[in-house]
Amino acid sequence: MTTQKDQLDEQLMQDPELTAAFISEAREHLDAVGDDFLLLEQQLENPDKELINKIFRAIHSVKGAAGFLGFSKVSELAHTMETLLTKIRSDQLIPIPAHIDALLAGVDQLTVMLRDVDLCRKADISTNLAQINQLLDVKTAIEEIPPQEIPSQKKKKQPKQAVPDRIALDMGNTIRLHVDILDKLMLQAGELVLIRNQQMLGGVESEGGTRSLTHRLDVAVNELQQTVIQARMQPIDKVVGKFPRVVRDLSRQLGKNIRISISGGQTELDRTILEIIADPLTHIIRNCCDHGIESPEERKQAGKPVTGQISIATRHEAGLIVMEISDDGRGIDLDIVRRKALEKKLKTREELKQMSDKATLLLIFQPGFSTIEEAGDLSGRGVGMDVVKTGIEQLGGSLDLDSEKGKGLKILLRLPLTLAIIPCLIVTTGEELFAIPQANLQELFCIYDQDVRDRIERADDQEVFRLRNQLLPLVRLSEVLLQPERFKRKDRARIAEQYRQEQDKLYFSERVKEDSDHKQSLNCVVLKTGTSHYGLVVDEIRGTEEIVVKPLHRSLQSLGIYSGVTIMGNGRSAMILDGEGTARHAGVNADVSQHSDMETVIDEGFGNVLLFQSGGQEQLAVPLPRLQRIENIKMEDIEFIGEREFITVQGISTRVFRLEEVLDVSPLIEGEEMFLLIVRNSAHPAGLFCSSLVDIAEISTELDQDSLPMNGLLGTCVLDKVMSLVLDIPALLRLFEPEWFAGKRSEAQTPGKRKLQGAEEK
Amino acid sequence: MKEKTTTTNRQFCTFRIDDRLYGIDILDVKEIKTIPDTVPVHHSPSKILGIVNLRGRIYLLLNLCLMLGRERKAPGSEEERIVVLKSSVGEHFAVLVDTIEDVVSVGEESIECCNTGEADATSRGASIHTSLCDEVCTLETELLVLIKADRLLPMVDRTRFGT
Repeated sequence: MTTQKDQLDEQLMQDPELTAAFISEAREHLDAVGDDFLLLEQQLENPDKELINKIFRAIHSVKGAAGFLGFSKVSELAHTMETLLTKIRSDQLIPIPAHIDALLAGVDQLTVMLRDVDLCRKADISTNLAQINQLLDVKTAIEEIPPQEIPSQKKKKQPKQAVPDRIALDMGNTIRLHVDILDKLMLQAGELVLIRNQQMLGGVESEGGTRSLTHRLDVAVNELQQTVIQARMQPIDKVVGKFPRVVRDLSRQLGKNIRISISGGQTELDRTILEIIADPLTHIIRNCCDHGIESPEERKQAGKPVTGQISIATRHEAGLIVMEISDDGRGIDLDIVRRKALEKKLKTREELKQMSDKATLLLIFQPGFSTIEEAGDLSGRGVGMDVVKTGIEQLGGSLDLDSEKGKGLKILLRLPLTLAIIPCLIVTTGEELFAIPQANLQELFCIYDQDVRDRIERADDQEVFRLRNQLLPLVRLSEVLLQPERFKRKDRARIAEQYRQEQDKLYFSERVKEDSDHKQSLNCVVLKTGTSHYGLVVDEIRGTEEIVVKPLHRSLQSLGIYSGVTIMGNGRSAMILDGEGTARHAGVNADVSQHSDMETVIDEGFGNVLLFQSGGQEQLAVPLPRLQRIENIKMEDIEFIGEREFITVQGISTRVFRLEEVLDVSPLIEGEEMFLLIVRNSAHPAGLFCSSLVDIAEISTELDQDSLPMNGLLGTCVLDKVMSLVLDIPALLRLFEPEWFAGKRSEAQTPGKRKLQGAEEK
Repeated sequence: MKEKTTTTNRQFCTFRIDDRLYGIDILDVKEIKTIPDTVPVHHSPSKILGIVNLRGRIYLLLNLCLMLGRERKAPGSEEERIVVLKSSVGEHFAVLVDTIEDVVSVGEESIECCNTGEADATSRGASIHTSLCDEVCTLETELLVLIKADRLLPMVDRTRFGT
């Protein structure tokens, strides 16, 4: 008989269609059953017969089909599970958590096996079998002892009513479709829309008859498109429906009591989005369980209910899907966040002080950030939240946090309904059209006439525009497109210089003509992506359009500045710009945009240098963006710790350097009152002595780097008719305090320990 | 490479680039069209002319002339065509040719291997040339160089990694 069966097996195994059908069907059964087990677990004492029946049916169908197709292992495991279920069903056995565990493990094993036809035959199911069989044995022994329990159980059972059998219901109205067909349908509908658009363009002058025909076509096509989009939508339950199980397992593992409630599970999202958010969401839930919810003892002490609560609510809001994930756990402790940020050198003490609570909270999205002291089994390795954030932002969604210490954490996700059609801003450069996803868009502004010359300044090598007192780096799209290589300093400087000269020429020629209001304007699109915030200068802004996104050709995927292709209403294709990639390409680093976040003390002219003197002889220059501010200090306030000099400025102990320590320059002229140039973005507070301030001057792009080669100098240059040494601040700091750059925190070795501790106490 | 067992004749879609005759196995060709609106893709290798929209699908348009180390004879001429290839030889792409010629049917036996590169070794694109085509066929009046369609896209991809 076995040989006969084997032959049959082989035959059937060779029918891939049958096998595929079996696998997808069996998976659906198993998916549906997972939740039911959890439900069953909640009513252990009083199991609902209908529920058990439903589970039984599902397992049974898997077993039957598997047996038919010759997946003997699958059917064996299913059979054993069925035996256990039979006992529960016939009241011979009262389910205990161990049963549910065993059954769930069985379902898991089956699911794994069904992923791969090979596994179906080879997988090792002995542990699962043993687990269930052991339970069967034990329980048969026990079952004889307390026969009186059974009737009491029966009584309670009555009121429970039938659980609707989803699978059976669905069978009638649904068909299984391959996603490819849907995608094709989507494509064809898109093409139809284009034809319609062209027809409408041509139909404007046509006669009444054709016009009404065109109109009807328009309506029909719109409806068709909507329906096709709808066909791709799936309820978010597909993803969040798995969480009760995840939370249950995690809470077991962590020894916590956690319950999860889900609402709005029927809200529909495009399946691509669902696929992408599955991982970030799981991560958030894991985080909630691991970090958020406290242990039962802790909760008791805090006067909270022992069982922690996580809730996920999903709803439509203004064309977006809003997902709210909240827990009532310990929340995020801002003090710990601050401490960690300091430890990881993400921010300086000074910066942290200026940050709002909200901004501090957002620090947890920085790569490598974790507030947990030790990496746990589940999370805490610091790769978490930034992954979540990038994942969501890639989709064109956004993420918001709200936390109250001790009360819990609320995470708000905003997701687009679909990725296939997104609203975009259409801009042009030269002859070409480009689309910019509206999700990245912050605002549009236009610089007119004289302002084009006057208000675009230079910070270091970067063109910037002062928009409502914030410095916004400018990126010119036309230049980005011209150069396939990433921009370097000299490229940015060249571009800045080129446009400056152009403006100068225009300006002076205007002056000659004495026509003061020459017309010009510069269109600027402000983009905000994960790490960058900048203004993209384009030729023309066309307006917004809902566009159909098509993926980039494989051979173009390595080009960073595009995120996709689209076909416009007129049938022409256009590239979709990737805001983040464009920023990377143009080298708009977070450095420049950070300046805009902070109070700028020196108001006039970036891209300029401060001229000052330290010793009596040479004139020194330091790029303004490198300075945080200038302080008046008294020489008597200087404190000496060993050889090193410190001064307390605004409560912060700041290391003070004399240039002659590392540069071949004349020694500092000491006076009673001195100036301290406080350096920006240094890991430790640091400042330079300065005996007198001379002026602020603008530097020509080409520094003379050869006539006085010295480590710590960017070069020399004639400024204010005097040769000036332009300081390279980062290099200087490296020379002054090599330990700061040794990679490890060197506070312990720094003689300023005493005062640093003082600052910490504060 | 295809249908060898059933017929000894192979058919080629032939076209000219810089007055030379080239051919692609007709089984690899999807269609031939006049040049649609082409949108250039900045930052892409020069071998990519741009993208075109064919019935709602985006195709990559390759500059075959450049890939063969030849000159594009008359850019923008009425004669120019694009040869769209089947997806079996690579993800949605087409190549630009100077003029299109007939479909030529040749016997398997008249196709010669030339992978030593002697056929066109004088041209400056010799090395590129031979990696794209290693078979030639002598017709009555001239030489037909056969292009391996499945090597076109990998060649574009390779150049990028090189630069």
